[in-house]
Amino acid sequence: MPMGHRILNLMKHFTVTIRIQRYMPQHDEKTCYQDFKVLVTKDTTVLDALNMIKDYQDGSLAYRWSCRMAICGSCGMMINRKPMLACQTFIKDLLKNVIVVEPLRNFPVIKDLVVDIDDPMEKMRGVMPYVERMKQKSLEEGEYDQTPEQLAVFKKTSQCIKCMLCYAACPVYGLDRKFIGPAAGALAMRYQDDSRDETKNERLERVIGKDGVWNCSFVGECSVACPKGVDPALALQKLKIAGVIHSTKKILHRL
Amino acid sequence: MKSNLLQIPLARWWWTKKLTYFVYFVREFTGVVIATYIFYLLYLYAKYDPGYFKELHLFRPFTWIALIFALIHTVTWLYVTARIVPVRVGRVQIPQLILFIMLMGVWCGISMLLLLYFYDPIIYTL
Repeated sequence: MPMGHRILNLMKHFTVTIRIQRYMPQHDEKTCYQDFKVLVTKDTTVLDALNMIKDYQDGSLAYRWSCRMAICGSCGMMINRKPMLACQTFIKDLLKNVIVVEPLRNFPVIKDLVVDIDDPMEKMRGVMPYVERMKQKSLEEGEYDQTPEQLAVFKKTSQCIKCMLCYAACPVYGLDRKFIGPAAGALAMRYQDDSRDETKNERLERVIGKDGVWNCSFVGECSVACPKGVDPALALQKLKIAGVIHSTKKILHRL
Repeated sequence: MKSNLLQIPLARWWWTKKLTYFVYFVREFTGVVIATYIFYLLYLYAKYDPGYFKELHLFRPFTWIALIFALIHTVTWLYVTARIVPVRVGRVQIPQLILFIMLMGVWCGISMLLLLYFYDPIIYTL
């Protein structure tokens, strides 16, 4: 166990400063940083600290949260300049007296730590995120069976909780907001890998075109930031390979 | 109300804020140098006999610079590949560093084979 953790384990409570970037458009067009001193224990997460601030110090602080257990993806924010889930980040693991909390990078800010995630959500809707059949089975024919091996192929990419940490980590999206982005790519790959789906070519056409997967220049930070191990960087590279095969087949078919 | 949204552009020096961004930026820059060298090489092949290359003042230093940049590009690219590609042996996931070393080994092996069988003229000129 690191020495810092041993010391913290001996202390029941300790005080940290949470430095939050505030943006209150109804008062000021500019952002500012506001410090809050919070008494925490070794089990306190950043989300717990924000809740304490909102409950006892400043009720106007705005941020999203819901499940508290890294399954809803609501509480994504920049913590010490890294995109993280506030509910999953323990104060003791940050090992700093001043913890800087900012809204997710690369997104327009609505207020304080709340950002507008409409753009990537729209991109995700655009990759046909559903199983579609060319011909539906009748009810009498039964379900679309899938073996555990077939499920295992897309299980990793299906874990995405749309927390947008990958978009915050992606400098390509930061420079070009038209880029489809990591989560949309991972979502497309999830349905490409699904054995029940029969519209793979149509989906590929949507993701390999302009502002599609080829804008990805393999930074790899999206996979590092992902809290669920989805590995969107790998999904994007797989889509590139699938796109090349698909385009080659199209050209050969025309010939 | 979308008009109150605060748009924060990516900082001009964003690639200096984190080591991985800096390495990525350097990797992308090495691609520019390598591409320039390839065009230079194509120009030389069009104009001169390969045996004459070593007589040119710029050829040797430019080749060494391109080699160093190609090495940086390949090593950094393989490092990111090892980071994002999960390789399992049974139920055990191979650690990233081990995978990186394995990829480097494969790359060095293939490079040696290519060097021995296809790039003799370049070895003699260097």
